[in-house]
Amino acid sequence: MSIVEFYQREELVGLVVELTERYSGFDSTSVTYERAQQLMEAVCYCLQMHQQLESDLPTGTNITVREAYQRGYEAVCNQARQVRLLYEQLLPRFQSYGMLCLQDTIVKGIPAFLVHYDARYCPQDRLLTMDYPVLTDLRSLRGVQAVWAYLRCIDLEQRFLSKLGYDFVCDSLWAYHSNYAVLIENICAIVLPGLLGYVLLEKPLHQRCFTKQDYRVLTNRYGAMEQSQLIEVVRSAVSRLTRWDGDVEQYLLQGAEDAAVRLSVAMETNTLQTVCLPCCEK
Amino acid sequence: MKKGMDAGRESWLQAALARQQADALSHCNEITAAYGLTLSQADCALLLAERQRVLKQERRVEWGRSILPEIVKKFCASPYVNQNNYVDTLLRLQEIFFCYKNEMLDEISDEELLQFMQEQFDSVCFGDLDYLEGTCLEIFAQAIRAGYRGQQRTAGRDEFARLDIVTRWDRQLYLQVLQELTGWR
Repeated sequence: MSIVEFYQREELVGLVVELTERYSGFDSTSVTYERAQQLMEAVCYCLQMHQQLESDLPTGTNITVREAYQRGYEAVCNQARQVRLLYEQLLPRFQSYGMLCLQDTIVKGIPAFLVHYDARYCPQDRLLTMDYPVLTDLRSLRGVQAVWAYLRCIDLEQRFLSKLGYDFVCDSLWAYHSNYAVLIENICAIVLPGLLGYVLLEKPLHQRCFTKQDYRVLTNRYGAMEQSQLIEVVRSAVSRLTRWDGDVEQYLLQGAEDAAVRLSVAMETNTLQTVCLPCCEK
Repeated sequence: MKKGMDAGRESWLQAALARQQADALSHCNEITAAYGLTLSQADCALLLAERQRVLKQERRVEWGRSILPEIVKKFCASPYVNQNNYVDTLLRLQEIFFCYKNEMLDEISDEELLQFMQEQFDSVCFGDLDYLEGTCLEIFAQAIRAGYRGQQRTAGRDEFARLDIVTRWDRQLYLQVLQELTGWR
């Protein structure tokens, strides 16, 4: 049930009227359609935030729409504070690995969001373009919820990539594309297929490159597998790689299917060296 | 059933709002009567109907409170408004007001805009609404869009003199010259 269906229309309009008067500083009796739409969405966004928290309330609790709005607004402000805290924790250990879109998003984009985010009059706006793609689909999220989820994804990626070491990640990215700095692709999605090669061949990470024999073994063992079977193998390998952190595991499992497809296609077309499994034999 | 109830509730609300606005407009007669100006119920209905049309045309929303009573109070003392042209003038002023709120990108308050309009209407425009709309307000709107915010200090008073591009006669100087030329006393 949408917010408009859930609450009485006149209650919602009452809130929007108050917000509009506040927005204009009581200096204007009228606003543009666009502004009215924005302020209505602001009210609905806060009420939605409250609805999501409602499960925490004891059953049978009745509150007015005004109280629901106020609680929702406070939840929005609280989530904005959580974004700031997470960002402050992330920044000292943040590595872009040379990828420019990730660098710009985190070093410039998030601070701009923290400065300009308007929890009162436009909480539904993300502000951030989120150019650097993450493995989680965030399209259904808006406003500070989207930014919080996005930053959380970046945090999980950073935790995972830091375990591999800076050189390993950069070498993998370079093997994928020599000019990877300008790519707008997810680092884990690039690194994961190669990393899985080590896991599936039970090869230690410090042995940085693969032999033609390695490619043959990989292809013989997994090349003929049904895609769904290979996906399960890959998921299991991802879980083994990330058993030290359940959140990182759940995040990377979202990239497992893509990684399996890339490996499958590479095995089929005899191009395993292109999924960052560089061959050390000429 | 619920949709029907909702529609009923909505039309009741709209009717209540329309009555409230018509009452507010009618009450203005208590002030304007001193200037020989009154609005009949039919006039109020016409003004409010036009308000709806203009708001839709300008893609604006007025929640509850209407600007019409403020326009009435601002212009009722004008020497260029009489009972014959009262309603037509109010209709035009309302249209001009909402148009220029958009043109000025909402960077000006209602009071500042009305003050500016009233000053120019009574002075430079000599009651000419076309001149008010096409010249004074156009120049002012350009200045506002370019970043001018002087009206915030002056509440819209004496602003046009700063922006006017036409060299105008000073009234006292005009009368003096007229006296000298014609020997008129």
